[in-house]
Amino acid sequence: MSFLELFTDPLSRGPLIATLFMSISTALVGAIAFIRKKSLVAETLSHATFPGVAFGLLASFFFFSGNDLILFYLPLLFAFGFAILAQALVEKMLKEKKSADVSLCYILSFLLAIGVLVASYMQHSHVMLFKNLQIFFYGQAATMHDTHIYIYGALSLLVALVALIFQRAIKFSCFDPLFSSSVGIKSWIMKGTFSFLLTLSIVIGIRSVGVVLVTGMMIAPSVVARAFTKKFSTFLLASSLFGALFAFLGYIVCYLLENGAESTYSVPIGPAIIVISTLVAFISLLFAPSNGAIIKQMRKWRFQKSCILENILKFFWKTPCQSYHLIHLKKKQFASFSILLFALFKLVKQGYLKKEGLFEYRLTEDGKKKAAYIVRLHRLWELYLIEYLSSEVEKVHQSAELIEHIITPEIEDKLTKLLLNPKVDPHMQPIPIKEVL
Amino acid sequence: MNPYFGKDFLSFFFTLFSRVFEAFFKKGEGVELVSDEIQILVLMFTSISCSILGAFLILKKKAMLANSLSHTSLLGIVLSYLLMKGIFAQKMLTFNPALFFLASFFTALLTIFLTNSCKKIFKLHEEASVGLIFTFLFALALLLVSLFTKNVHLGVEAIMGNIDIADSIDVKLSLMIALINLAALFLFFNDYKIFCFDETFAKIVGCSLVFLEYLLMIQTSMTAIGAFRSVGVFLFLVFLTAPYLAARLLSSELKKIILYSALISFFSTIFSVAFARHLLSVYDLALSTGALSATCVGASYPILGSALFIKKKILRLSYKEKTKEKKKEESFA
Repeated sequence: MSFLELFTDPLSRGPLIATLFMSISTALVGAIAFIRKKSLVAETLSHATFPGVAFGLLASFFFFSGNDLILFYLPLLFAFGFAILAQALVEKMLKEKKSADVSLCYILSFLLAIGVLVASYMQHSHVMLFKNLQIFFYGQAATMHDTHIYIYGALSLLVALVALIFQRAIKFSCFDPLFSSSVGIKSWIMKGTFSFLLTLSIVIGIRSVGVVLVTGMMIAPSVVARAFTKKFSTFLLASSLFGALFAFLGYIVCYLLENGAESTYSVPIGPAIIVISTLVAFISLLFAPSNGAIIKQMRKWRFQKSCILENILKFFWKTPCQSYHLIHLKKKQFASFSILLFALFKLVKQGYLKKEGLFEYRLTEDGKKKAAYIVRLHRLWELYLIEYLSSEVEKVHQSAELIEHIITPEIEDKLTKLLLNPKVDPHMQPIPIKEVL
Repeated sequence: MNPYFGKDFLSFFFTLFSRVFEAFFKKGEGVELVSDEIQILVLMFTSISCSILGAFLILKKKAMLANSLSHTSLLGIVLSYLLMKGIFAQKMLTFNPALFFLASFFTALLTIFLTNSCKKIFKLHEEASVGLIFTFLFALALLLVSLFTKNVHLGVEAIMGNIDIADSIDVKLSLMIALINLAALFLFFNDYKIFCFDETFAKIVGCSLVFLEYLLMIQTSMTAIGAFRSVGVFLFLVFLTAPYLAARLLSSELKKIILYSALISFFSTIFSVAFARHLLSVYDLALSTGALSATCVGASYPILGSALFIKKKILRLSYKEKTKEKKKEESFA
C-alpha cells in the first residue's frame, strides 16, 4: 500500500488526518507560546483538562443518559472550561505574589488530583466511562474515525484563522508590549486571544496524544522552526508545517512497526511523534546553517586555525632565510604540540612552507609574500589607529595583533587610500609593499 | 481480618488509637499492620520527605523541574529495569534497593544534565528546555514500555499509583527515603538555605552550587520514584507544593515552614485515610485513597487561606464595632 492510500483508506484516514490537523494547530500555538516564553503554561492547562474530561463524561452519563453524541462533545466542552478555570486560578495566584513556577505546579497537580479522584470513582462504578477517560489520559489516535476528522479539522481551522487574523497584533504584543499598547492594541485582548488559542489547541490535542504528552507536541516543532528562521510569520508557518511533517512521520513509523514483515509491534502514535520531533529538534539545534551549535563551533575553530597559521608565518618572516625545527616553534607557544604539527602540515600543503629534513621548515617565496601581506595589514592598522583614532603608540600593537586576521582585501585597499599609501609605521618599521600573491 | 472494616469516621480514629495503645504496651505480641495503617504510614513518610524538599524546590523556583522529574522518573525506572534484567536476569519489578537507587540517579542526572545543556549550549530559554526534555524522555519511556511489553497503553496505576495495594515493603521504602531526606536536611540545612536565598554568598562561602543542585534533584527523583507505587509520580507534586503554600501563610521562617508543612500534610493524609474508610463503609463508595489524600492536601492551601481571610475580616469587623462603641461612649460623655 502506498502512502497516499493511507489518506483514503477508511481505517487509517481517521487517525492520520485527525492527528495531522491536531499537530498543525498545536504546533502553531506552541510557536506563539515559545515566543512568549510560556511553554510550560500548556503543561498546566493540559493536565487541568483531565478533571474536565472526567466531569464531562460523568455529566453526559447522568444528565443525558450516555447519548453518544453528547458523550463525544461534552467532555471537550468541560475540558475547555477547566483549562480556562486553571488559567484564572494561576492568574489569581500570580496576583498574590506567588511565583509563576509554583502556581503552575500547584494548579497542575491539584486539578489532576481531583481528576484522578473522579477517575477512581468511575473505575469501580462506571467501567465504560473509565475506559473513555483512559483514552484521554495517554491519548489513542488509532481509534479515531471520520467524525473526529470533521470536528478536529473545524477546530484547527478556527485556531489557524484566529492566529492569522491576529498575526500582526500577536507579533507586536510578543516582541514589544509597550509599542503595541501605544498603537492601541489592548493587552488584555491579546492575553485573552492567546489563552483562547492555547486552550483550544490543547483540547484538540488531548484526544490523540493525551493530557500527559500534548505539551511535547507544542515545543519541538517551534524549536526546529526557530533554528531555521528569524522572521515571525515564516516562523509560525514553518512551525505548523514541521508539526504536520512530524505527525506524518510518526504515523508512518507506527504503521510500519505494526505491519512490519518480521515482527509486529504496536506502538502508540503520540510518543512516536514526540520522540521523532525532539530528535529532529536536537539535530537542527546542532546543525542549523546560521546558528547551529556545531556550525558555530566550527566557524570558531576555523578562525582560530587561520589565526595560528598566520602567526606562524609571521614568525618565520622575521628571519626569512632561516629554517626552524619543530621544538623551537613549540617554545614560541603558538599552540599545543598536535595542533602545531597539524598547522605546519597545512602550511606545507598550501605551499607557504618547505620541509627541510625531519621537522625542519623554511619559508617559501609564496610564504614570504603571504607573511609580508599580514605584516602590512598589521602596520597599516597601527598607523590608522594613531592617525585617525589618536591612540597612543604603545597601545596599538595589541589591537593590531587581533585585527590583522580579520581585515579583508577591500578594507586594506581603503586603508591604503586613506593613509595615502604609507611607507613607514608608527614604530618606524617599514610597511611591506603590496605584492600580488 | 481488617479491624477497620465497616468503621465510620470517628470509630476509625478510636480503633486507630486503641491499636496504637495496644502495640505500645504489648510489645511481645507483635501487632501486624493492616492496610489502613500501612497507608497512613506510607503517606506520612512521603509527606515528610515532600515537605522538606518542597520548601527548597519552591524557593529555588524549581517546582516545574520537579514536575519534569516526575515525568522522567518513568524512563529512569524503565532503563534501570532493563539494565537489571540484562545483568541479573530479574523478572519481576519488585522492590530492590539497587534498582531504586539506580533509577533515581538515572532520572535526576539525565534530566538535569540534558535540561542544563539545552539551556547553555543551545541557548533555549528555561521553559522551552524543561518542556522539550521531559516530554522527550517521557515519550521515550512510553515507547520503550510498549516495545518491550507489547502493551500499547500503560495502566493508569503506573502514573497514578495505587496505595490500596501497598504492603510493608512500601512502608520500609518510604521510611528509608524519609530518613535520607531528614539526614540531608540536618547535614546541609545551612547550605541549602543560602543556596536558595543568596547564590552569590553561597559561592563566596565555598558551597558547591552544582553539588547542591544535583543533590536536591537526586533527592527529589528518589522521592518521586518512592511515591511511584503509592500516590503516583504526578500526585506527589501536590505533596510538594500545597503544604508549603499553606505553611507560608502561617510563617515566614524557613524552619517553621518546613515543620508546619509536614504537620499540615500529615494531618490531611490521616484525615483522608479515615475519610476514605468512612466513605467506603457508610456510603459504599470506593475511592482511591492516594487520590483522596492528594486532593485533601491540595485543598489544605485554599481552605487555610480562606479561613485566615475570614478570621481577618471578623477581626476587622469587631475592631470597627469596638471603635464605633468607643466613639458613641465618647460622644455621650
